Amino acid sequence: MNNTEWFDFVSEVTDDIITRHTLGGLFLQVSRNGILSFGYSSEEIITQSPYSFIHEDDIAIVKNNHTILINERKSEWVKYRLKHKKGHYLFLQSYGKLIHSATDPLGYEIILYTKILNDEDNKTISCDLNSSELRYNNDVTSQKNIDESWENSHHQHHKLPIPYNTEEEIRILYRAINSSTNGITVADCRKPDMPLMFVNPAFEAMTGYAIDEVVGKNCRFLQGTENDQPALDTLRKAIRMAEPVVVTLRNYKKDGTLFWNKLELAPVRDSDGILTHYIGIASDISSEVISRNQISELNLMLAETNDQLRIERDREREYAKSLEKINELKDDFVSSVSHEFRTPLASIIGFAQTLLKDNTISEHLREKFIHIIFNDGKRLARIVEDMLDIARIESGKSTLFAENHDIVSIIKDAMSAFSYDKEKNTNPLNFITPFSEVFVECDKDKIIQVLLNLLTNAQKFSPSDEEIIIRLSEEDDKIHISVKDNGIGIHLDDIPHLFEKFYRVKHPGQEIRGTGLGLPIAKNLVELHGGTISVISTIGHGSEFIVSLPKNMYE
Amino acid sequence: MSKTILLVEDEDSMQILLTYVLKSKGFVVHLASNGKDAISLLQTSEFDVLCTDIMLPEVNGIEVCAYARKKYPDLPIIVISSKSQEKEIETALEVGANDYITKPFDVDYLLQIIKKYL
Repeated sequence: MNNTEWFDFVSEVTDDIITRHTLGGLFLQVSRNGILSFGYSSEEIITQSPYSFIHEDDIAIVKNNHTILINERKSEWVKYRLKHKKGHYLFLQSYGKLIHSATDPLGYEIILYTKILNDEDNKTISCDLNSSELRYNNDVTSQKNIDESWENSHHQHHKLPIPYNTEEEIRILYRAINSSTNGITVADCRKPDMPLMFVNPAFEAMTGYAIDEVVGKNCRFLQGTENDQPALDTLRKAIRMAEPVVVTLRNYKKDGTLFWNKLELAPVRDSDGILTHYIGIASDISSEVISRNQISELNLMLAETNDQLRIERDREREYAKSLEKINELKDDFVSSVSHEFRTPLASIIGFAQTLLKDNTISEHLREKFIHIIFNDGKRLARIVEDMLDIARIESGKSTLFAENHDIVSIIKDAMSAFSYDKEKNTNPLNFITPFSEVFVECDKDKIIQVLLNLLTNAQKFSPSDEEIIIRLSEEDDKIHISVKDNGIGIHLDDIPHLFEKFYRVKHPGQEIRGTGLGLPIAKNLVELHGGTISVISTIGHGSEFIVSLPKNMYE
Repeated sequence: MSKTILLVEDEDSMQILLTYVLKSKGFVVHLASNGKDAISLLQTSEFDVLCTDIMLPEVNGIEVCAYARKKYPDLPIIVISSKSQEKEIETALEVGANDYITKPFDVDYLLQIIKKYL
């Protein structure tokens, strides 16, 4: 009669509550009266851990008792509360015994004898839980009787076949294996598919599977659906080669929870060196893996933070560089403006001084000198005006007086204003237009200023006899005015900065006068009209500035 | 015999002013409007004084000074420029200018300086 049959028999004939458990504690069988008293069906209770039914305050004491039973084979009564199916707690007192396992001739399992102290609903038994009498259950005689009857009924099982060791040594070995906090498994590789023949209580506790459920099966059931883990290749290879191996696997407990199983597998050989078994030592390293993952997550965050800091630092460097650049531009501007002021001032002061001191100057020359003073005075005024213009535009205070104007006549006005200074502006102007008139909504004076700035630039950067071409074209609701010279052209590096305030193109070997405000002013004025300004240039072949204006500013 | 001055200046008004002032003091004034013309003139003729601006089209005044100093070690060179930064002045003196006058200037002071070198 095996354990299951024996238990079935006892269960039928006794009104006692008797339960059969794996070493890890999982329910294997519950006697008839147990089922009735606890309220659960067999299916609800079998293979479950008793700890999921025990009152949380009592788990520690029961576990302690459980450990003592396994490690020291010492049975003591333990009192605890067990949750009835209906939700109330039963006050129980249990006494455990180790018996030989039904499935493993070398393994053990637990039989528990349980008494109900107090059913809270029925009050069939009343007792004082605080009384020391009940707590310690001093009925030594009855307990002794129980012990004896258990010893007797299973006596034959203790007589193990011991071919080469004393029974005591074997017991010590099994106690040790059963006490191990690592899950220990033994698989039989003489049988097809290498079934498990033994698992220790720690394995049961780790996986939630009872020994009965796993013995006879290959332990791949732990893998769930993840049978393509890279670590499995390592494991399979080691098994093929009959070599020891350590792998970390993603395994699943009976309830489906993932855990990281660090499995150390080693081949076991018999005295002839023939491979018979594999011993596996499993450790749940989930918390390590989790903390390792947390560390790598933190590292990742740290790296991200570092990256951000680097970006910030680069940005700050760039900012510092741009400040430096602005400072440089300002210095250039101060020097440029002072130079632009100094030249007309030198002329005004020099001529005035000469006129004051020299009585011999002819009337003709006197008039000429006064004219020069007048013109250089105007030049100074223009520089001041430019600076004020840019300041006004930048502060958003520049306003347009836009009306419908014929752009052809505006261009002609700008050309005559430019050619007015015959001595300086000697370049011939060539105006190409397909229209005799095109009306554009604009501020006439501002557009003349834009064109004058472009013409002046073209003149500054061209030989004095080279033609400057002004071309007017139309495209849908826009017009384009191009001012093209055959001058020295603009270096590619300078083009993006052309419209920046105070930026002045450097030409090795020669210097060209200007405040660095002409193009920024032109750009701002064009943009106030809703238009755009662009440039095409080739070194040595001249530049072309194109002003595009919408015919109607607000459309 | 009247002294000859090579005046290198691109600004019309300054050309007119300086030519008038120097001529009225008895100098013979040769005018160049850019650095390139000035160097051509220095190649072919000798002058008693060179007065030059710095900012000039095509070839600047510094190069003119350097060329003149190399060719005529004893030629008085006076720079008249609106550049007033120390760096500019140093550069001009380094390449051989004897004096540096910043615009705007006192006409009498300029004449004094020129006389000093003759």
